[in-house]
Amino acid sequence: MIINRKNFIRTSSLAVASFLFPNFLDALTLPDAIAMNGKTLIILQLSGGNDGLNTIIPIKNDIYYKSRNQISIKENDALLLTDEAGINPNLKFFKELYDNGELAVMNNVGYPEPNKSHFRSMDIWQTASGSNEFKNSGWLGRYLDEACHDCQNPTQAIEVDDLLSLAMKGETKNAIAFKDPKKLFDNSQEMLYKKLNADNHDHEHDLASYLYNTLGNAINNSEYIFSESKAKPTDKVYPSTQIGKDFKTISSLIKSDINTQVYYLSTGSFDTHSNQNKKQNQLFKNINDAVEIFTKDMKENGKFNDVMIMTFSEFGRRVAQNASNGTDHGTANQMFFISGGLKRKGLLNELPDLTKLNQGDLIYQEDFRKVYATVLKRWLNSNDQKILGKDNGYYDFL
Amino acid sequence: MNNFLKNKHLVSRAGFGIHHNDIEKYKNISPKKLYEELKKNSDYQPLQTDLQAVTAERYQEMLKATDRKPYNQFNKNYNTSVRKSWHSQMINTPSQLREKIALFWHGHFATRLQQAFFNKEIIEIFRKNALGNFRDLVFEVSKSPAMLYFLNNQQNKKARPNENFARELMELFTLGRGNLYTEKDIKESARAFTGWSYNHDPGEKEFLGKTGNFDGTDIINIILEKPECAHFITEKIYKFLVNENPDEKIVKSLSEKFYKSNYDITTLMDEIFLSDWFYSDKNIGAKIKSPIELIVGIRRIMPMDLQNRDTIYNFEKLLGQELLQPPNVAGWPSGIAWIDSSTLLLRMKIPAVMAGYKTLDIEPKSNDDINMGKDEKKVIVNKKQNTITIHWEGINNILNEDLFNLLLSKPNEKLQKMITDFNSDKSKKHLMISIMSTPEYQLC
Repeated sequence: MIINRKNFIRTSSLAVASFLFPNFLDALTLPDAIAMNGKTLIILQLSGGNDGLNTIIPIKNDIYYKSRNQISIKENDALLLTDEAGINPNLKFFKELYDNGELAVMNNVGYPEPNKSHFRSMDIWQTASGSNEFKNSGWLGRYLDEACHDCQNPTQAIEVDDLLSLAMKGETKNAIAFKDPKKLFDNSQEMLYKKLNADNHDHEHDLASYLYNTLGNAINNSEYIFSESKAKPTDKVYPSTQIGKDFKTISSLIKSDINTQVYYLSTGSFDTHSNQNKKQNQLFKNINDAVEIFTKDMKENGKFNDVMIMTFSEFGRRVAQNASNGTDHGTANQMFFISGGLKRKGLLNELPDLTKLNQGDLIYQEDFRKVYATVLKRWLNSNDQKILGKDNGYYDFL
Repeated sequence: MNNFLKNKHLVSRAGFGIHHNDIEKYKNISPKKLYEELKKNSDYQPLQTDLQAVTAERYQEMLKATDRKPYNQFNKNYNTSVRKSWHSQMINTPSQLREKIALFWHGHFATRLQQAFFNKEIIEIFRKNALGNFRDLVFEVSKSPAMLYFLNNQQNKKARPNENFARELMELFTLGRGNLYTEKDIKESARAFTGWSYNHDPGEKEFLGKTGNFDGTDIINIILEKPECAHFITEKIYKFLVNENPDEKIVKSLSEKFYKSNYDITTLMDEIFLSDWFYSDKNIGAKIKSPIELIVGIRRIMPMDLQNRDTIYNFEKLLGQELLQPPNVAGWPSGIAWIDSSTLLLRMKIPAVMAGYKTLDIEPKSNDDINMGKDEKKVIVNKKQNTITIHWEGINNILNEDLFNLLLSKPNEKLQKMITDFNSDKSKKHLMISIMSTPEYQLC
């Protein structure tokens, strides 16, 4: 039997919901292993390998212009950040953030022995592993293991997507993925699933218990998330692009009382092997417009000092363009940090050195795991060494 | 436990689950006889692809062309064709044991490539040697273009290709991480493997306590002389076929027999599937089906027509396992790693989607290694697009069986009562789909 959706929603006030699901009240009183400090982290994944050199442009660098006859961004077109650096004109709100001291850029971030497969390099970034290591859990999933080790519902980490990324899978806990709280709710509130869950006790095998607990969490969390998403919906008009919708979902949840500290979303594809500028411009424009509304939304609600957006991509691209007015897979890249609560702002380090390349590729200067350590320790207030498996040091921008 | 449940357990591990034509047979045959039959029927036939392969010359031409689109397109189409062909073997062939063990080797010697010819070749190495000798398998894989290309190019360590191979050989393929060997052994054996490519280093090498002018063949032979290698492989196979939590005493005894047989894989299979402990209660229903086991298993019990054959591979991809695309050289993770709330709800929904009771509209994660900048297509199944039609008329007989016994590894009364009550005013078809939509159905 398919549940009558309208009827169910009408009757599922919080009180009714808690009556239907005994576990539900527990979800609202989560004991937190890590004291919540009210900070929220949003990871924006630029899938496909964003071309960093056409993002932050070395406007005085002859090597850059000579290597990219057709696709370089001219000095006059770039929006000036410093004497030497400009930002892609499609990121004009980022320039405003920069001027306001609400943007930090870490240039030339990567890792030793870089891998040029999208999939593998993305796994390295998502699991915070070395190039020769294979981990089955992600860095934010392991954060969740810590943050939620004795809490019942792992709503501290949410991915705005149909499926969960490896970054968000822990050793013992997994984050929750959904594109739209309503769709998540509808998917999990099948009468059969709820009956199964209600009958859930005493399983002979640990595996069956694990499956039933996952099901129970999905049902309870979806109810909790759906009701939170409706509590204080944003009144701002977000762009109708996917990334616009995703930021709108995040905004409404941040404004509610939900305990979520980490949001994850991705956009792309930045795999611009041919006719790069057209594709990258459009993607940047979509990001720019969504981030602009989101920032205003957060500021008006007094949240911008406690919310930070961090971007990354699995790799940058080669310094020289190819014959199809595109670029091929490269290595190091920049990361953006957007927040009202940054301790250091602007360009945090030098632009990449284009005179010292490894077979046409940038040589990374900053290790991404040191960035993760900084964010885990100083933004999420967690034990970065335990989560990352080693001491990576810290930066001072947080 | 009756023979039927034992046989079902056997074929869920030594194959991809019970086939709808085999139900009567499974009620009467003994597990021992059934295993002998599985073994007898597991002969090797090369995969037949529905797409004609281009000649090697034409492939090279496409590879060298400035416009890489034809090359990429061919790889994509031919990979799909190989995937289809192998998938259909898993569903239809009586050679269940061979295909199941070949899938194990695919995850063990994992490569993730776009080069379709290389993929086809290495899959055939797994299928051909699946039940043969592990030694032959290691040698063939170590010399296969797929593995060499994957470890040297894809992994992007051109500077020290042999060291990379030597490391994976010991860490992932034969001994296990940090077991017996040191960094020095890796460096020394890397020098030996130079003999397999170019610039052979003829000097003396010291490897695992032996000294000599070794080449790659010597290195592999020295590794295989170590009982630790037999133990590493046996434990991994035990986890794949029997239980994620290995019984150390049994694994030890199995590995000694495997070693004594000089790495004969069929000997190891006999020891597992002809044992009593394989059928002990703690090993039944003790594994989470991998996405391929789940989907292939459903198709064996429930025949169906697909408007778009890719739909089925898309289900597996959404659930995290795609043939020819293991995540990395370490292969697929297993057990609870398959399960998060998204994948569990999707697993529970898929049988109802197949039956047309529900629709699906979901976006896979982007795969830029294949899509080359294009956006990932959504997976949509509804009454108009990519419709799936179950041949209910072909399985009328099974609808009158005890469906709980038929579909679940460990039917339990409480679940049975709940599902039966839930479907009291509905057809047997609905009952069958409901049973397949339970957490218990994820176990085998």
